Amino acid sequence: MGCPIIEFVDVHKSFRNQKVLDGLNLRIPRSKTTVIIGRSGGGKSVTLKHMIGLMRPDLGQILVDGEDIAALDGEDLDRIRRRFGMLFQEGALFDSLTVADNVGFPLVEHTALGREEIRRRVSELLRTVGLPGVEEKMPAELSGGMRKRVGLARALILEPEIVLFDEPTSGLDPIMADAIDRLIRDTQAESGRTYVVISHDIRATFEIAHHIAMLYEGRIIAEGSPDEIRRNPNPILAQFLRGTADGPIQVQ
Amino acid sequence: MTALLELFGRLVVGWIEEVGRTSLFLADTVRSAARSLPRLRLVFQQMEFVGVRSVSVVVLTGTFTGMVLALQSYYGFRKFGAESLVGTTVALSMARELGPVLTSLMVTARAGSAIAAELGTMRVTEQIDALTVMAVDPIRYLVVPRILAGLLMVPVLCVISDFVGVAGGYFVGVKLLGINSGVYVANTIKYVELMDVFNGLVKAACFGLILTAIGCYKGFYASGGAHGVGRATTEAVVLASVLILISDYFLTAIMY
Amino acid sequence: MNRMTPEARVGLLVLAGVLLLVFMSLKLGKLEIGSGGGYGVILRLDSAVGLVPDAEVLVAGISVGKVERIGLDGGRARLALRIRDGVELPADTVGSLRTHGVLGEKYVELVPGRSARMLADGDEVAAGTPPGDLDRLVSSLTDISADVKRITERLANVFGTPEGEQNLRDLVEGLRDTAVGLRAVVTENRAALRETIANLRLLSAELGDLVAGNRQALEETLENTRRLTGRLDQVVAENRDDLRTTMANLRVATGQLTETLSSVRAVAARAEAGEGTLGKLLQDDGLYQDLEGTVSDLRSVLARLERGEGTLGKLMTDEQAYDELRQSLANLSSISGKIDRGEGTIGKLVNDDSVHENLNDTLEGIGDFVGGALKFRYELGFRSEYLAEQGDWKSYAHLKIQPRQDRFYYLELVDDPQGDTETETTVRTITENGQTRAITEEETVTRDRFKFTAMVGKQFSNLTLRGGMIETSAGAAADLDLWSDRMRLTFEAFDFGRDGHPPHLKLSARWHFLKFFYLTGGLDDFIDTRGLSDYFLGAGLRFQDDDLKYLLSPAVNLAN
Repeated sequence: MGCPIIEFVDVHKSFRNQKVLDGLNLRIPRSKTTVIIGRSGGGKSVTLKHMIGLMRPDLGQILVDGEDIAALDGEDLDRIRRRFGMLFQEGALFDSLTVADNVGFPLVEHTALGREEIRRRVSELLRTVGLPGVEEKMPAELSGGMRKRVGLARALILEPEIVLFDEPTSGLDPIMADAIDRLIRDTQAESGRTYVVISHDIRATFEIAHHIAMLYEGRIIAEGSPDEIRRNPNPILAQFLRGTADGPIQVQ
Repeated sequence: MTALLELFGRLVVGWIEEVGRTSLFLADTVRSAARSLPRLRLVFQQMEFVGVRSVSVVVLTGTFTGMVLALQSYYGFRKFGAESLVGTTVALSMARELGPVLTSLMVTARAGSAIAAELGTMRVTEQIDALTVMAVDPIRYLVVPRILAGLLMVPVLCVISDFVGVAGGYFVGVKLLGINSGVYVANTIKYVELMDVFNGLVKAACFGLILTAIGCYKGFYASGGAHGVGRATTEAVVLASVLILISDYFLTAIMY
Repeated sequence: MNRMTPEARVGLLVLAGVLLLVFMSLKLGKLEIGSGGGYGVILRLDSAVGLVPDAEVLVAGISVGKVERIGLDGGRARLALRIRDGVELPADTVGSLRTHGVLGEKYVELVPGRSARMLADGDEVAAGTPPGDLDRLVSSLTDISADVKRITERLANVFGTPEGEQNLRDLVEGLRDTAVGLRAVVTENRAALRETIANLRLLSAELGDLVAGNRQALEETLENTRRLTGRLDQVVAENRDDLRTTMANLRVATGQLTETLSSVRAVAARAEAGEGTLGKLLQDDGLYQDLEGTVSDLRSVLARLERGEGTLGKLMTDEQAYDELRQSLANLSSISGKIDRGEGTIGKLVNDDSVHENLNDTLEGIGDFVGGALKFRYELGFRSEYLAEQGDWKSYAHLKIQPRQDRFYYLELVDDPQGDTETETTVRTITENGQTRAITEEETVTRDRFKFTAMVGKQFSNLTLRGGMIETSAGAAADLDLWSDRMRLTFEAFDFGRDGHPPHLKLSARWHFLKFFYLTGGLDDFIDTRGLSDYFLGAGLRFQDDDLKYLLSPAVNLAN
């Protein structure tokens, strides 16, 4: 699968005696959309947060282009982070700033661009995500789907190499979910960036993924292209894809 | 019995951990502030929030505290004919203790709680993570401006509180109770040193630091959704108020 | 309100606060003298009862400064006074403790003297008695009697020797002869004498009036007398030999007087004035009382003499004083012998004012020099800091030498668990399975656990700036002392040449809650990017000059 852009090597992480990642090994291919699937609370978000240094592993390495970010700190970590964009589950827009200020925030912080130039780029990107003319609205005035799209615009504005998505379609109506999926697929196809999505939405996964990894009890139990995943005989994966409560996965 | 001891032990350990975490948080803050100062505009926004918007409540509490002090000390002093010392009492109490402490407690209730709630909400809605991900140090962006605002604005509010307190005391003492105004003013000036006012301001700055730092700390590490934010807010107000009163004792012990 | 930017609103509020503060400052306007402003003088008093730090120092009822510190120094109170700049006081100013106000607050009163030299920083002010009409009178009298006592002591010295005794006996004999003669004269001139005595009584009455009317003048006279007796004292001391000669002369003179008197008696006998006059004279009350007065005066002088001898006796029993005295006397006798031999010139030299003054100046100069060296202050200290993240102790031992009030040298030995960390790169070539590979090994080496600090510092008010070498690298530091030096905030910056990394910055606070002991805490290396930043807590000991003296004196005694 070529040289992976992100690689997890034997990563362990536990919270208060509860093991969340238990020797996770994972390779994220470059310039593709990788979807990590798994149960809610199964360590998907934790995995995502490790990629960008929001969390540090108890043990193991996380290599971004061969550099172990688990050992980095301060400036060096920020340098890596500027190569990333991230869309949070609820958008994580700043309540105190307008939509335009939210989207333009990374430009203000990390570039020396003038106000007009920032305004122009923000409007352009808002049009791309299908929200023209909302610049002066406050996040509280937006619906959930709109917030996610504004969040996507903010994640893309610095034109990062890697974009992370935390449950992009959860809590949305099917139509809005599909609109977001298309947006992900289209922007990825257009830019050729590396996208990492975590989701438990099976339908959406097969729609956008080039590569799928199934996370279960802190490890990857199956990975491959969508076709390979469909054909995989693993009973846990099969139960998850079927979406039934009967099977090796016990519901507590 | 052992269970009780264990509980007590766990409480103590928890408390010590809390102190350590707070200290580390403060150390992080100082490091952030030392590396590069935050944007001036953010500091001004917080100064407006912590300072300007607290003026009315500080003026009200200050005035009435001064008035009550004058009234109470008048009834006390009248018994042995020392009414002329009412002004001294009011001014000294305001400058040394009540000005800084009451101001800080009011600002804690108004701004400290709001800071905890705001940062707590930002934490549980992942806004703080979003800042980190965008390679913006959340301590520098959120915490440093708030603590700076507390450090700078609480002393300013304290000066105002001192002044309106003394003015309120003067109004009650001279206008309502009929103490000679010349004697009142002369005794105030004679026994109150400029050092009293300055030490009060140093206290106010310390309290400003405490209340904003605690508010930020509690909010910053909030967890557990809306309920967690509520708990962080309450804890911030209680902890900051208690710490203000405790540190007041030690500051007084060092200063006088 | 909506049109205003946050900046403008904050600005308005700050402006209001500053204006109120300025207003209060002006109202409470007794502007404080900081610990560094003005100049310091020392006053040692027998008692500082009731005096509190920061009590006022008044000259002519006007506040010129405050009492900075009150300490104990060899059983006396040692007051450090801080006098405002611009207040010039003569070097012979005296200070005393006084009370004023109904509340009985104590303050220090300074009474300027007349010297042309002015007090400078670090000088000592003599303890004086407070001024005041009656007080001054009584104190002048005390001084006079002290001087008289000293004269009688000297006289006792003169007469105490066998030679002097012989002189005295001769003198007394001569006096007795004179008295016999005098009695005869008196007997023979009763009427004239009585008249004279009556005149005297009249005169003394007038004198009494005069004294009553001229109390002020009398005071001055007393002052003059004091000075006169002082000088007399000096004259007696300086002219012991002359006095002896005079005494011999006196003996001759009294011998002559006796002769004269006998001739007078002869003349009087010839004049044949009435008989039985002696009886009458003895019954004359006026004369009796006068005589009695004279006798009692004599008795009091004798009593003083006795007391003088007592003091002398005490002096003699003190062995050390006795030794010194004996040595001094030996020196004196050798000096006086030399003077005897070279009488003309040296005698003149000794009596020459200008020589005396030169000598005085020289001695003063030597005194200043020695005083300067003694004014060096020392501080010795030790502290340990626990670096929380690193989990290790870092210890410091220092010596501070302070030649002047505001300048010092600071030497410190540091035991740093971290040491100087360096990364050493070694390249090794390995041949494995026929392939040669170069392996680069990085090793972090820690060396130089012990580091040195050597700095020069200067104090400005309560801010101290230090510079030089900190932990074996160039550095600078600033200290801010607060609340009568009970709290110290320190900022240090050093180790600027850490390749590519920011300098080592350290921020700490110190609380001196006991005299020798303090607690400290702060942030170490807080802008470091490699995770070396840390916070620390620690404690230290500190001994200053006086403490050191006490600590070291047993050691010195043992060494002797």
